[in-house]
Amino acid sequence: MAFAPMGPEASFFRVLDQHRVSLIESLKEGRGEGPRKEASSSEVLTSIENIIQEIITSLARNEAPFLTLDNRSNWENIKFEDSVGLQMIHHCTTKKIKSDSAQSAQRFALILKILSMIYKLVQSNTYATKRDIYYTDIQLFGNQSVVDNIINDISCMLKVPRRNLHILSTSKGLIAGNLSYIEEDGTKVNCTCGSTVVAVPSNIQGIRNLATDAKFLLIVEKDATFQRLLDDNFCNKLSPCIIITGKGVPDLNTRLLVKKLWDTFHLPIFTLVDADPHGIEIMCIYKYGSMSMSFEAHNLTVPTIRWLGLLPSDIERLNIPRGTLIPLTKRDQMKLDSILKRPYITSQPFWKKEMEIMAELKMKAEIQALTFISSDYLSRVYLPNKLQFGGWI
Amino acid sequence: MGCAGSPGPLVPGRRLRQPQSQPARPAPGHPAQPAGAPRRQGWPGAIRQRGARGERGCGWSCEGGPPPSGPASSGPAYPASAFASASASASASASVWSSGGRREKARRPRRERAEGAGAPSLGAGRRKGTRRSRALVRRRGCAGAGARRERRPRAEASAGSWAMEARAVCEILKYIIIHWKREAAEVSREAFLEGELFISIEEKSSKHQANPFHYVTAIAFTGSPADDFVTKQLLKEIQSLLSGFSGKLTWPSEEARCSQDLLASFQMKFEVDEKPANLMTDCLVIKQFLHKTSIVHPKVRFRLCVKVNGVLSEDTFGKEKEPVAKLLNGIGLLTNQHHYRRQGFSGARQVCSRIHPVLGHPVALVIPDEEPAMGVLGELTLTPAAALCPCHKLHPNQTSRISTASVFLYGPSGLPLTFPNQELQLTVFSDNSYLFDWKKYHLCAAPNSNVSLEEDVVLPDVSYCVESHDKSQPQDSEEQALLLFLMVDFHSGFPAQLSEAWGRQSLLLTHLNRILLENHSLVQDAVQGAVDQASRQPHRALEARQKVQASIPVAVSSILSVVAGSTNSGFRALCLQTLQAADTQEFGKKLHKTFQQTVCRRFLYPKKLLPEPSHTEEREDGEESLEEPLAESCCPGGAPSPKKCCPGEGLVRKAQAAGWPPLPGFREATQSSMATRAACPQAKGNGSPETLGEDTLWLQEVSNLSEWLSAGPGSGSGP
Repeated sequence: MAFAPMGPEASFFRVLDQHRVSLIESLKEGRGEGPRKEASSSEVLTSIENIIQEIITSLARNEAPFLTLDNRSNWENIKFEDSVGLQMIHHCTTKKIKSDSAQSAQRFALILKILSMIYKLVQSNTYATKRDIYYTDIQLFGNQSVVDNIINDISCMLKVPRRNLHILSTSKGLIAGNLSYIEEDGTKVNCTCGSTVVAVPSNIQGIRNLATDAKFLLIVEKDATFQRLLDDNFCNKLSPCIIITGKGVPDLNTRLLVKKLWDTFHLPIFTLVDADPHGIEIMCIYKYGSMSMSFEAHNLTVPTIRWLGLLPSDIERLNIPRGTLIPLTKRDQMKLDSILKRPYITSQPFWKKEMEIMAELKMKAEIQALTFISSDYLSRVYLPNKLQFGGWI
Repeated sequence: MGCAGSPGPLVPGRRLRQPQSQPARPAPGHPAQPAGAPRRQGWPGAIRQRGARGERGCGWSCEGGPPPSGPASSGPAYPASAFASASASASASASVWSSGGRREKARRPRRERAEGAGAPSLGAGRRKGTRRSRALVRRRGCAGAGARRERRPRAEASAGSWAMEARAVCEILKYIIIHWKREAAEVSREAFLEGELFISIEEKSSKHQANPFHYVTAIAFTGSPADDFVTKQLLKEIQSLLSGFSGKLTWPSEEARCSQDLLASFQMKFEVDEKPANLMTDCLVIKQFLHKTSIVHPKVRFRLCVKVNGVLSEDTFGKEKEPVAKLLNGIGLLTNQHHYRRQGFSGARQVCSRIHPVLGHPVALVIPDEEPAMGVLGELTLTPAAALCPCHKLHPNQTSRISTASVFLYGPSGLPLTFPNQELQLTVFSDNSYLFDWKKYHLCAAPNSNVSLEEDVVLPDVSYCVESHDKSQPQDSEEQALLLFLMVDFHSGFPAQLSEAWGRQSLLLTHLNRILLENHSLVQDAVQGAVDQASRQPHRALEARQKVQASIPVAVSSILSVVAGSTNSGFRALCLQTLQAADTQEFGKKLHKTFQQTVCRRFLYPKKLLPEPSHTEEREDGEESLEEPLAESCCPGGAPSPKKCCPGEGLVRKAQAAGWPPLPGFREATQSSMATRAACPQAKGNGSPETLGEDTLWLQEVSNLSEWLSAGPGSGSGP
């Protein structure tokens, strides 16, 4: 790197380096299945044409056409693998989207509508965001989530990553630290420049010449915490490192970037999330993926991610004032119970223990609770200590 | 105070095709029945003749009084019908309260006018000026005066010349049912009445009879056992009840009754002289009354046998093991739709054979202060139940529109408040929108005059023709009838005496109009709630259809966009070839047409024909097993099994054992019924297309539900 601010002494990263070695060793055991082969434009076009042809054939036989989609929202169709996270099983159950049913006729039409738009995008080698598609006919689509869901369904149906459908999603993630790369259009990006941050690029597959000396990557759940760390000059104090935030539930590009950084550098990756069920859920999405996007798990999940903080056990250990804690709501409780039942929790006994502590306390804590100890406690004490002494699980 | 059963000045909703209710016209040349009206087989031609109104009074043989010299043939100042009704009314009042001599006096027109003038009438002045309304006001006033004198309801008052004997028979039946219901309520208020009621009308023309048209109506019923004292008392009460009617009531001697223990709870005979044409009307009225009563008393079997000129005609109501929806207080509702709609109404297409009533919330009606005559402690409630007929649940996507609305009014004990063939006294219903907010459904209503006594369906008290103003309504929507059952009841903490319970029936009808007026918004809200729920399915069907229709152009244009924009010549050629189109333009047209036809047809008539359920064993349990859940029930496919014992058999045995001659026509009826059953051992049920369809409906409902559940967006979090 051209510019490397002075960080802590080399001994500071001893445990981190050991952790990195162990991660690389575990990689040698191999992953069950590699990332899905990229689909070419002509393959995408052919897939769409096949679907249209089937519909026309149905009509010619006086049969109401339907589309068959994999059932993405059923846990029975999901399997868990340590090395991949949540992924769809090969012979999963499907659902029919019928053209002659009141419940699905509209969805059938909308899928065809978006398929025809994708067809044009691929044909013309142009890209559009999900938002662009929504704005082509707001009244027809109703809301953005309808478009998002249909695009995911199409991606799952055609077995083609979203990027290959020429549909982009607007990035909301931010990144800072010891990283530089060149975007698809040739733009050079250096994230090391002081307190400025860089937006996660929208074309992750197109970035090249990635370079970093970072010892670790820290995923920060919330933008506010991310900004606070930048203000506290965390990247320089613990240099070389990278911090990234998806601003809550991460978007696809942020997840893709984290995955790319892992695949490229095999950096130890840690998460800093609130000690609440929602924070744990976000961490699980980075680590194991989500059920609805399980068909893309190979391109999105990073099972080597570790939970750095804020741990529910830290509440007692650091004697965080009770007044800063928030009681768990019924919804929190339900979420916690649901996470505890997920297949990957059995392979994470320490996580389970932390969640049980939270359930027992019936309280949750935000990262900001640490500021009641000291305003820069997070960046000056909490994170350095955890990173130096291996306080992750 | 109006008299029970007197026709009101306004006739909302219906006009019965009943010749006797019309003002008297020259009889010759007037058709006996309306053209095209269904005729019963086996009825002698003689009874189809229409008798002149003035001919009725010739056979009066009421106990204790000589036949009156009826004024119906005189009275030039008034229309004959009005005069006849009024005179009957006056006669009825006087016959109960005073001697026969006074009764004769009471029939004088002057007396009648005087009573009418002094009596309060509810809404009487609305049609002043017509001869008809004047007569009606007088009739009501007359009975009101009588009632004030004795403070006792007079059901018999003001009976018109029409169906006079039918009224008497119906009054007897009502009294029996009230007695019966009271006794049953002592055990359980929620249990259905169980038993059998047999009515036989037989012509007794013999040389010993002075009148060649002498008819004997025999009534017997088996219900709760009663001791001698109660039986005797009840018969006496019934006799006093009938003092205003012609005819003679007799019952078996005590010796005959006591000789055997297998005796029907009550037996009596009612003898009357009647013109055959009037008899026909009487029989139709009785039949309608029985039918209307039977649909809410599902475990009571009513059998009506008429034997004239040696020809027997039989009707049975309350056949065993009919599906029932339990409403409230021991009142049920038969849900076979043939009770409410003519067969073959919607063609040969498979339809659900039942109605699925939605029970509304009971509302406590506020009795206006100015109704002191009510004088009844307790709460007056109205409970609506609504259903659509025919049920389209087998074709949930079939759009429908309400074409008629029928209102069935019931009073306490589940008894009809009005008589068939009687002009309705409840003028509130003349306001088409009293019960229904038609605008809410983009509908408008008008009174329906196409209601005939001779229908085999239960006649509504009020009927409306309904039309839709909704432009979005598909052209192929099927017609449905909205059925509304209004159950009016008293609730007090104490069991009512028989006379009290009887009185409530009449009091209720007299005052109900005013009460309903006062409680308009309450009643409409309650009715609207039930109707909204009942019409939810058709509303959903319309919405669903609109959704599917709206999705077709989007899908078609998307497909066309891909095909037209494709640079893959092989793909384009294949598409055009599949739809046999020469070019893209023709392809577009054919695609739209095919899509529209295929999807719409499949939407309306889904191809899901599911296998017959494997468990088709007969049910051995009682009728309870056929009780259906109210509302949203999905046509359970259980089929009634034929009863092992022949209906009415027990009653014949009892009658014979008691030494009484068998009830006229009863044996023939029973044998005929047995023969029918022997010829058709399997009741309509498991194997019938209707039942299969009901199972299909259930499975389709389940299938749709699972589809709906899985159709939603992923429940997983995150992208």
